[in-house]
This record gives sequence, C-alpha cells and structure tokens, in this order.
Amino acid sequence: MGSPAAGRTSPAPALSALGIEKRFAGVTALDGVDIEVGQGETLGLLGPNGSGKTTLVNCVSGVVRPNAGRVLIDGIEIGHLSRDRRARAGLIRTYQNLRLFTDLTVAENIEVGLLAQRGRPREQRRNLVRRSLAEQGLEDVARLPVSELPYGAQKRVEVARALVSEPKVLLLDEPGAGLGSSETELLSEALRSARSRFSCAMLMIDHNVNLIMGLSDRIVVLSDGKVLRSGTPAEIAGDPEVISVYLGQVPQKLPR
Amino acid sequence: MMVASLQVIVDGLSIGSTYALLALGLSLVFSVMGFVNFAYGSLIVWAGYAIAVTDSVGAPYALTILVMVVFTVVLSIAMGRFAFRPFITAPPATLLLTSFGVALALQAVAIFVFGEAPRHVPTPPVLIESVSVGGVRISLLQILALGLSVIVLVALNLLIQRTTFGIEIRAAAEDSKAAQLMGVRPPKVLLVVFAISGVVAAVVAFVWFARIGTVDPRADLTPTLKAFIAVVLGGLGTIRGPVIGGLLLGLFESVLASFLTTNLLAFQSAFAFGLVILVLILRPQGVAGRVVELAK
Ligand SMILES: Nc1ncnc2c1ncn2[C@@H]1O[C@H](COP(=O)(O)OP(=O)(O)OP(=O)(O)O)[C@@H](O)[C@H]1O
Ligand SMILES: [Mg+2]
Repeated sequence: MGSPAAGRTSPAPALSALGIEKRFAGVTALDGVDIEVGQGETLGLLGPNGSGKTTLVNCVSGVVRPNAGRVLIDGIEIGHLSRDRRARAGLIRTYQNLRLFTDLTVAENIEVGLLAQRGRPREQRRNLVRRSLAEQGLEDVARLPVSELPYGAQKRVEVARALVSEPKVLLLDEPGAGLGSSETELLSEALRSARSRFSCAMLMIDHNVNLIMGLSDRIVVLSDGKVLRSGTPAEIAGDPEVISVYLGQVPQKLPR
Repeated sequence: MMVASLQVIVDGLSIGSTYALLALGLSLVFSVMGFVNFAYGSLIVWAGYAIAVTDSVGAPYALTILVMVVFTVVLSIAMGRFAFRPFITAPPATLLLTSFGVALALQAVAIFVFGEAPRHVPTPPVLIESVSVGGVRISLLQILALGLSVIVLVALNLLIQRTTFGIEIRAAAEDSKAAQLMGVRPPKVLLVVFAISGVVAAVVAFVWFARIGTVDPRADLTPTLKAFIAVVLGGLGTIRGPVIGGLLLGLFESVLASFLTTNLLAFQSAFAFGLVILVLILRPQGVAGRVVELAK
C-alpha cells in the first residue's frame, strides 16, 4: 500500500496510521482507523467521549501497542520503535491530562522538550528555551516550580515543551481543555506561529469545535472507534450525521 | 567540657559526612529506580578488596586507590547493566529482590576468591595520625573525609541541578514514561546513575578502609545499614535529606560513644535503630525528606 515507491510525485504523508485496531478487555477502542496527515498539514480530530481519539494518539506515540495496523512517518514504518526513538524521530505529543515534571522549574520542563535532539550547543538550547518562554508569556515564572502555576499556565508549559524542539509531527491531545476564551486565543496564536516558523504536521484533538475549525486544514470525525467522516472544516460543520453523532451531545462535552 | 563536646562534634561530623555520602549513593539509585539497592555495600567491600589486592602486588598507595576507583565504577556500571537494566520496567519489589540476590552473589564470590578471613587494607600512617588543635584531636583522614564529602556534594548538586544531564535524570526519576516520550532513554539514565553512585561508593570506600584497615566478605552489611538508617532519618527524594540523615547519624553515634560505658557501647546499633523507629513513627518522610510517591 503506502510503500514509498520510486518515482512517486507527491511526497509521503508526514504521518500515516493505517488500519489501527486496539482492543481493551472487551472494549474495541479503535476498529480499523486510517488517518494521514500531509507535510505541514493540520488535521483536526473530533469525536464524542470514548470514541478512541486518545487511544489513537497513544498508538501513534507508542504508549500502547495496537492489536493491528501500521504507523509511518514520512512513509517509514515506526510501529516497532520504542517511545523514545519515536520522539527522537521527531514525533512529539502532549497529554490530555497534564503530564509535567512537577519537580522541575518551568524553564527546565521546556528544556526536557529538547532532550529528543542531542548535539545542540548549550547556547542554542538556551536561546530556544528563552524564545519559547517569551512566546508563551512565561518569562516571569521561568524559575518557579511548575506546580506553582495556575492550570492555564501549566497547559501553556506543556505546549511550549512540545513545540520547543520544532517537531516534525505534533500530536496535541486537547490542548484547549479547561482554558478560558482568551487563553484559547493565545494557544491558537502560538500554534499558528509555530506552524509558520517551521513546517510541522499536526494532529489535534479538542472538544472546542471553534478551535479545531479555526486551525485545521482537514477534519476527521471518529465515532465508536471508526472514522465517521473526513473533510474540510466547512464540509464537517454542515454534515448532518456529524451534527447528530457529535454535536448532538453538546451538553455533556462543553469545555469544563 | 567545651573541648570534649567540640571533640564529639568533630568526630561526629567526620564519620557523619561519610555516612552522608553512603546515603547519597543509595538514594540516588532509589530516586531514579524506586528501589533500595541492598547490593550497595557489596560495592564498598569489593572496593576494599581492590585496594588489598593491588597493594599485595606491591603497588604504591596512590595507585591502589586509583585502581580501586576505576574498578568500583566499572563494577557499579556492570551491576546496573546486567543485574538491573533487564528489569527496568519491572515493579520496584522485583528490583529490591534482585538487589538482595546481587549482594548474596557478590558475597559468595568474595568468600570463594578471598576466603572468610579478613584481609589487610593498607593505610599510610600520615592519614590516621591525630594532631591536636586546641585540645581537639583530629586526623588528616577526618579532614579529608569532610573535604571530600563537601566536594562530592557540591559536584553532585551542580550535576543534578545545573546540567542537561541532571534535568534528564530528574525527569526520568519523576515520570520515566513521560520522559521517554520526550526522547529520554531510561536504560541510559540508569547506567549513568549507577556510574555516579559508583564514584560516590569509591570515595566512601577510600575513607572507610583507611579508617578500618581490614576487609572481609561480610563487611557489606555495615555500610548498607548505615546508608539505610541515614536515608530513613533524613528522608528520600532530595539531596539534602540523606546528607542531613548521615550527619545526624554520625553525631548521634559520636555522642553515644562519649557517654556510654563500654558494655553499653555494644548496643550502639540498637540505639541507632531505636532512633530510626522513633523517626518513622513521628515523621515518616524523614527529618528533611519529602513524601515520595513511587511511579508505577
Ligand atoms: N488503558 C485502557 N484500558 C482500558 N480501556 C481503555 C483504556 N484506554 C482507553 N480505553 C477505552 O477505550 C475507549 C476509547 O477511549 P479514549 O480515551 O481513546 O477516548 P477519547 O475519544 O479520547 O475520549 P475523551 O474525549 O473522553 O478523551 C473508551 O471506551 C475507554 O474506556
Ligand atoms: Mg481523550
């Protein structure tokens, strides 16, 4: 199927997950999901609670092993690689629930994001961290333990940590969850500017439909572990089935 | 009286600083791997044999120490690589049991190779001769013990707090799975931590055997226990904790030694354990420790 054949005109997608199946004792979380994210493309992933979005990110980042399916970066199979090797290959993710290093300062947490790339000179690493702090408005709290920050700021640290290494493929699991509208605006801006600075394929999950619609080139809707629809934001927004399956449940999934 | 209590403090601090290093080596591995390495004392014992054997072929003292340092670090890395790395994802209890196994194995090999009888470990007399400073007796070794401890502590603190490597170690110690997703290789971190703890063990061994002068296959128990007590007293999860615990234990022993009659002195360890029990009841996280949560 997706083998990088010689003489092929368009480059391989930055990320492909093909035929991903994942079962947990009795629950089929993913039932043969195919997604592709092109070079520099942003793919939004929508779907009701429990539809398998996080599990898909887990399968791609190596946190769980799918029962079937292949994961490729630039057309190269990575499904057999350990998590750290995937990270060093330029695949970085964030967590739906914050997973910061609470013993470390804000600046140190961001510096951890650079560990995936060896051999950057110290001075360059410092500058990257500094720029990243500035971008997220975190300069004043750089030396504080990250646990002392309010939730919204911690969320920004997590995004900064993921962006600082300028990853090739970025998986964002609900980066906007729990943020107020001005914070969401900031997040949106940071992702946009990151995208324009370095070409980065993004797979972004969020329940904030506006955030997803505003940033995505294309949207995939999951339902019950299957791809329900895939299309441009405009197509998805007007799709009656999506509205009934996903938007129909709005009361349960308004941002907390 | 003034001089006597000053003497108690000097003695206590000098032995306490060695305990502090011991405890630090133990807690370093603990904070990254989540288990108490009961084979830590075996490193000290084998370091002693390294000095004894190098000395027996006629090497000068400085060379015996150099050989011992290299040997101890290599042994510590080998321990990490072959005994613990294969179980890196196993629960801490597995690693704890493994460490007992390693301690027993290293002891058995020592008995087999060197026999049960203690071996002489040389010490240059200049190290242990005491000079009197304003009535307080102090030896070069005591000063060295304190000085070396301070150097190791400062260096370790810089390494952990200031370098990229330290950040990597701390991140892996807190949440090794999340760290892995940022490109951290836990197996590599493990080896580095064992290497560092090997260096610390070598420094301890130098001071330890210069003071004691002999090594035998079962001599691992005392250093392991001292480290363990110091760690419990001071608390885990920080650099400060084991250091404070070690110094406390040293001072406690020194005070006991100055007050207890000879026949009660035999129970010195019992008193130390009494103190441990007391601390565990009153302040389970140690005097200066934090509540440590074990990552699964
Ligand atoms: N580790 C696990 N063990 C057992 N079941 C799991 C596990 N992880 C996920 N599941 C199940 O798989 C299904 C999909 O869960 P997943 O977390 O991927 O959903 P989601 O789309 O991310 O939902 P949400 O919007 O609430 O984050 C759910 O039924 C969930 O209970
Ligand atoms: Mg989820």
